[in-house]
Amino acid sequence: MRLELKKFGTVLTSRPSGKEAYLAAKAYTLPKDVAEKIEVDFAGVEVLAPSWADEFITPLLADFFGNVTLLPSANASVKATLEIILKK
Amino acid sequence: MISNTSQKILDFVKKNEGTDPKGIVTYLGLNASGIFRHLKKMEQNNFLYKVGKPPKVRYYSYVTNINMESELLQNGINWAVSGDTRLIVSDQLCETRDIFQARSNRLLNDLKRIVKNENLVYLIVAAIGEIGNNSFDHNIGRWRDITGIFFGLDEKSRTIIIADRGQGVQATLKRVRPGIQSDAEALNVAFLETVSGRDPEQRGNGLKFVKKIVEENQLYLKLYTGKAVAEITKSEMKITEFDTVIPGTLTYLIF
Repeated sequence: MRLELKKFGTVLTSRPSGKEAYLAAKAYTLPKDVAEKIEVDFAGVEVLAPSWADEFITPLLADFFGNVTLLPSANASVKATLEIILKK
Repeated sequence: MISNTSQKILDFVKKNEGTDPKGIVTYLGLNASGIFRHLKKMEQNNFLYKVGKPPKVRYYSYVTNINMESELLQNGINWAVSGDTRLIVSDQLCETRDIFQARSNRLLNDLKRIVKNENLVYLIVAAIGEIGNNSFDHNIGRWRDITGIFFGLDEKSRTIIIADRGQGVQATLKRVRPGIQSDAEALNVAFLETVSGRDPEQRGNGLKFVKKIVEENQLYLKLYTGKAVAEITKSEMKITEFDTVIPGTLTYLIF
């Protein structure tokens, strides 16, 4: 499935909103089968910060281990954030 | 021109920020009504200002040695030192994270108008988001006196300011790094190590991210906490002592 992050907002910066978004995604959007492939689409997101990503992308990568593809983005804040959270 | 007595008062207040009038009178050993005349004149001339109402009055020196171009920054710094609400207007105070989020969205639109490079705008808003959210993450339920953060944009000097009346970086990190001895050391850890006062939660990337953005995009940032200040430019980070105590934090970013 393709997960469009813009549906959670275009300015994604705080931890509580990232956490809430992931809980909502788990309840309504994400597949129940953790073996299903997920493509994360950043199109339309203007600002992504590590706090939000740490609460959404990090658990997504862990819960669907090996089955998540982060689609390329030209947005500088998306690139800088992914670089820092994936480095850990 | 400042009189000899006024200068002595100013020196005393600088060393004892938040002193009450009794402390000043005792120190100078002069007639109280004469000292009050000096204090009033010094307030009028912006050398110092008072917070509170009698009998609980505290005096602070007005910090003017940072960036004279921005009145907003002057007021932000002095608010961070004293918590004097008269120094700020209500729409500069974000009492909750939701208000900060809404104003961050407004900042995004303002910056799009001022800065031509959209990617730089996104990076600045992401960095500001990290700094402001840090204040909420680490001070919720333990603000010193004023809940929330001061948040302002000075378009003329291209400066964004965020300040809080929270616990400061040293107190926040001391929970996980009890060996930290100074504000300068705490700042060094906060900017260079992946560590968070909220360990064992997976946190601690925020200020590293901010530093990277400042360095890679030729921005300028200063973060004050306690008696230390970190200054980040494209080529280096310097941490030095600051002569006024900022109990929480104050950050300004020039773009």
